[in-house]
Amino acid sequence: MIERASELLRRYDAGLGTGVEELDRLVGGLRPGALHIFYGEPAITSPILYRAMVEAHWRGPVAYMNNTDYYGEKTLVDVETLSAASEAAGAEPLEVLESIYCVAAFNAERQVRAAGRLAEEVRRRGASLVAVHNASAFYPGGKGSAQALSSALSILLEAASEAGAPVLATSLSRGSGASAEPLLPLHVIHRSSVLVLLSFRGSFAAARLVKHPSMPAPRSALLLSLWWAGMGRITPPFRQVYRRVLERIRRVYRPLLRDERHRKALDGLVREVWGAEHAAIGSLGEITVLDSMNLAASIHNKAEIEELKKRLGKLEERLRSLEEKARAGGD
Amino acid sequence: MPWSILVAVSPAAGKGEGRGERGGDEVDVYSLDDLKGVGEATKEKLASIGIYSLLDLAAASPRELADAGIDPKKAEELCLQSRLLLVSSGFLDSELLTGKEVLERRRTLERITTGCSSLDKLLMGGVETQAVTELVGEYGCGKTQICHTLCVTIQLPREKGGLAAGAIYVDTESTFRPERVYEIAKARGLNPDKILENVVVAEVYNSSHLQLVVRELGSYVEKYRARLVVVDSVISHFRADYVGRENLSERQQRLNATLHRLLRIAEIRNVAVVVTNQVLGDPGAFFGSPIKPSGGHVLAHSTTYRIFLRRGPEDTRIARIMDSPYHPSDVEARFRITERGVEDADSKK
Repeated sequence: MIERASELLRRYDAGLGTGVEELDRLVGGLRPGALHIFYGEPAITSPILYRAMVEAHWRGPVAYMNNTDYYGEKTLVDVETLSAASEAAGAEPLEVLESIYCVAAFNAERQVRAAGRLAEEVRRRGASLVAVHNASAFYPGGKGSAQALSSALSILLEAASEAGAPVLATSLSRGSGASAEPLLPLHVIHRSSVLVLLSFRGSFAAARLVKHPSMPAPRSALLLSLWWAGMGRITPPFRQVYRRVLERIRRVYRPLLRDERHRKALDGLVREVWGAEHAAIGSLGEITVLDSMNLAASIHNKAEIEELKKRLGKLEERLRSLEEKARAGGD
Repeated sequence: MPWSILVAVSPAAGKGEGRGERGGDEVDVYSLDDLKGVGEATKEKLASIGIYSLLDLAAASPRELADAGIDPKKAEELCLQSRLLLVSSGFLDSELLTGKEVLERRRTLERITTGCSSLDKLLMGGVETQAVTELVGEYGCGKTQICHTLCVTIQLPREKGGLAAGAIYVDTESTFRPERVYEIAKARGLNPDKILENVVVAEVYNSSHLQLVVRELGSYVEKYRARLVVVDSVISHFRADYVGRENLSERQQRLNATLHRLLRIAEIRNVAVVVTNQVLGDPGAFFGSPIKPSGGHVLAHSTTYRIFLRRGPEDTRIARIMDSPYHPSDVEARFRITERGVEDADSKK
């Protein structure tokens, strides 16, 4: 119930990353029990929300609430964006989808009920992130829309605090430029720990940290890592591709090798032979079929070489001892 | 007799049980056994509402005791008795004081530096003990940063503007960041590990939880030798838990009870209480600011000092006294948020 701040610092958790490097540096991670509001252009807030969900799925199940016009959209999760976010993270889209449990609120009246239902699941299954998509969907709407939104977020925050999960909500903005505010009731904005405005600067996505309890604010950054969502540069940065390929090899290819020697050989190859520079020279993009075949052959060869090295060592040892014996006999 | 003297020279040494320490000085906290008519059953009922000593009892209202199942007449009697006992032993001031005595008492009030000279000047020396100071303003205007800085400055020695004591931080919005306190302490040349040892944090999830924590605050203040209690923010959960006009009356009643409890703890235990408050849009405002503090009249009347914060030009923040019995209301203080917490606006960036 009450504990020393020193103990809190000892248990310090840098928080959950959003998977967008520049944003993580700006915000310093999503912290358990805190409400983070990312507001502004839906073309930026949605991919970031999905990317954070992908990042969270490594830690555990993800609770997702979508505030949407179901009868218009007929969908709960934007699978296309989620798949792109998964692939950018080197994750299997199906695995990510399996880790998400979701509810939808189709109007303000249902927001509270949907939040209550999701909170129940958060308490039952646990959650690594509570994601609230388009929180401002029904605000400002009819009478009671502010109350419904406030209650829904309050319910989710309480459950998230108990589960030790952060809450990330996206919203539209009102106003323009740096002074734009989330399109949310004022007391909900107050309730947030972190406010981030997301907007376009040319074809690039940019983030502006408006409120944070421990990071300097206001501060801005360009989000170059959102290339996969079609923003800014059209080619991803090389290091990101390199890391993604490595991650994919480790996660997908390695478990397919049944022989432990081959697995060790693969680890050895990755460690010794592949370097970012080598890969850069070879203009590494995606693994092609030929690459895969070469890789398999290299692994096999590497394993054989290791085996031969061992055998050669043993033979040399034996030869040396025989020579010594022969020399001793001759004397 | 002023409180600060009573804390230093415990007048009832050895008389009761529950001897504790506060700010390095020993303080006697009378045991409930010193009261007539308090048996085990009554003690149990009192403990259920966070009352463990005469000081806790003196800070409670007869209504709270009655709600815990104690006969209303007996509840009134117990509150009265506890107060009389503390007054007779010199722990509390008499009900009636002369103007001179009140002046003497005010002269001995203690203040905690905010670490920012313009803010200190605005507050005539810093944040006062025995009072509830309210920081109100829009999001991002520095309320939480002032609270974090106070958690460090309270621990400074008296000659440097602190009270050499600890702080209790009641965090209702998950905004407390130990690493921020660490950074502020380090930037001010203090031992950050030691500073963090003396800050205790209560994370609060809803308004009922807040009421529960506030009920137990007396014992926490005693246990952790705290002279500063921060509630950041006091209104947040009440606004979220009691939505709609139909719940407004209950919300205000509960808020009122919480604030009065805080005020009584501040007065009786000689601690400074700092609460933060949010603002709300005022659609009826044709002139002046379209925002006003939330919490209505209850909050406005329950806090001793109300300081309004707003964002200024070039990343500065501006503080103004909004309500106070004696501070001038036409003075403003400009400050900046830096790695040292809050600092004068003209200090180096």
